[in-house]
Amino acid sequence: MTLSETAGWQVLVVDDDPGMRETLSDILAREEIPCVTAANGRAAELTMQSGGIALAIVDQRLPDVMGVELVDRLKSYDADLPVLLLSGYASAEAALAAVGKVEDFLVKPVRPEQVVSAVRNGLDRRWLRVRNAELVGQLQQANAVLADNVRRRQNELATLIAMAAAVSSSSRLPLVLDAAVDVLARMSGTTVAAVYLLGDDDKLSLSAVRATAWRPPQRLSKFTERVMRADVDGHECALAALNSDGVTVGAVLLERNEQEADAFLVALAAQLAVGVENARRSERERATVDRMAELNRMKSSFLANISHELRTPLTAVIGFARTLQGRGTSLSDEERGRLLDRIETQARRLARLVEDLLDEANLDRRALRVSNGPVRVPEVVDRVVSSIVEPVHRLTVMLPDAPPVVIADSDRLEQVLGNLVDNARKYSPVGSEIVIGGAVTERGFELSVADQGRGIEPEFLPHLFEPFTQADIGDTRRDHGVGLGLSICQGLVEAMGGTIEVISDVTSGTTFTVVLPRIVPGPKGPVDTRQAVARGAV
Amino acid sequence: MNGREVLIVDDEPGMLETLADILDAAGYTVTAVGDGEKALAEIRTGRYDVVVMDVRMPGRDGVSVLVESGAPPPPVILMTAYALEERLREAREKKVHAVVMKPFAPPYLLDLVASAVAA
Repeated sequence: MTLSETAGWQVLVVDDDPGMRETLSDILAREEIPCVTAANGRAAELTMQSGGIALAIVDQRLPDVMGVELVDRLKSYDADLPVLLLSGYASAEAALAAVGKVEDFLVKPVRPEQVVSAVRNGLDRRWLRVRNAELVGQLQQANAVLADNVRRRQNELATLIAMAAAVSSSSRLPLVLDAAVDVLARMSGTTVAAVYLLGDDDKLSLSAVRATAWRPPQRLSKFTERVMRADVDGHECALAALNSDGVTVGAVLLERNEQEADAFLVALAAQLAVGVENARRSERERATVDRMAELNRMKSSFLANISHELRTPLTAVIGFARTLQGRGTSLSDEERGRLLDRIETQARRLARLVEDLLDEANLDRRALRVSNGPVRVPEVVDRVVSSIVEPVHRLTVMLPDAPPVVIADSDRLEQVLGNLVDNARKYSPVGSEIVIGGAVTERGFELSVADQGRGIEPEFLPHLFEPFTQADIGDTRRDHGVGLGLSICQGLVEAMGGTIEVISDVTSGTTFTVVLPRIVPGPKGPVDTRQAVARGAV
Repeated sequence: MNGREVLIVDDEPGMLETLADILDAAGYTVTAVGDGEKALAEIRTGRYDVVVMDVRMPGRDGVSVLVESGAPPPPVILMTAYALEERLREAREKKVHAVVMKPFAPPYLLDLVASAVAA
């Protein structure tokens, strides 16, 4: 490199001898090396201050300062400045003082080729140093970029590994999402990390979040890109779609103070999508297993109940029949009558149970038929009341004076009412009152059975009309029956076009109300429902 | 009369009646109770040679009576309608004399009662 290639740079010649300044200027000019001169230290410093000096030739003896001292001052402006020290004689003292500070010595009288050679050497070294510094700078910059890239990749790799661990840490979706946003939030530079899942409204709903800056919105609109940068509530965010089998199931939102690679976001989202899908599959499997276990438990309970209910009367029938067989001739007529009576009672019980089971099976297959027609409710109530054997409750009937004719199935309505009265008798204390009531309302004719029993536990109420359920008061305190009665009642009432409902309170008892909406229009108009007739105790 | 005392326990009046008929005809002295609590009180009097009891009863069930009746209880014959009844596992651990499945023929029950008396 030559000085001419580095335009603007000059050599500074400092000498108090004008002849010497001229000689040196001439020598340098012949080599096309531009130069500027100074007659003393002060002038030299001023020139140095204005810059552009590539090398200095300094006379050892100056009027205002020693040459060695001036070297120090000039180098204070430019530490890399090469200096050639010019002296009138080969002074060992001057040379020693200048060792390490100057590039070379020039001894007067100077020979032109010596000057040129020393200047060129000095300049070469100067440019080399400048170039070196530049290269070192570039190298350092490249190193820094590399180090930053390595750090980012390491961060991304660590995040991907942590995400793999997070999505397999649990089979429960909320825990998986929580672990996932934790991983995202731990990535250096993350201020907001959130996971959204696609909801029924076809929008992405915030499902897990870690935020130090601002809270991301509850809902996001779906987007079609796999990765995109978008403005969310005034914040520049990266969004990545969670895709499962090509269908969007959610999204990841990240706000970070550094830009991550798209490929990294895609990989991250893919892992999380797998985690979400796995957790959902596990949840479905768990629900199925729970349902199967519940069905199995219900089946066992049903089998135990049904066996007991069917086999106990059967045992009694066989027992009574054997007694008749074995001792028939020695029995009195009265005794024989008792045994036959018992056999009939047990057989009826069995028959009713079998009928219930068939009804339930038919309800289940929606094959149960009702034949609706005009029904006089008091007649149905009479049949139910008179069928009660062993009356141990006070039964009160409160029907309107002129109850309307309703459209229903008379036999089925009797079955329903009988069942409700049986339940009331079963679940309320001996001697308490049971009221069969009737009223015309805007909904139709309402037939109700109210008891003063122990009521129904609120948690059992929703399951009351489900088949094979019974108020559970400890396994062994089950009352007789297999839990079909109310299920059948509901099925029958609905088949008649009505509804059945229940109000229950553990302190005041239970009231079942059958609403029959179809009333045959009567000639008398609305009926006064307040007047009631007590039919006495049974 | 053979002088042996049998306690029968069932919440079904029909069952109690037929059991009483069967055992009475075979010469046993029969006492009938309708629930587990009463059964427990009777067993604790120590006068019974055999107890014939239903498993499934409201309130205290047959297995519970067996477990609570103390040692040594008289031989107990349990009646059940459902062989897979969970409660029976506990009863078997308690050395029930026999478990009889409903429905059963009266002579079979009499054989079991006779074997329990002999034990």
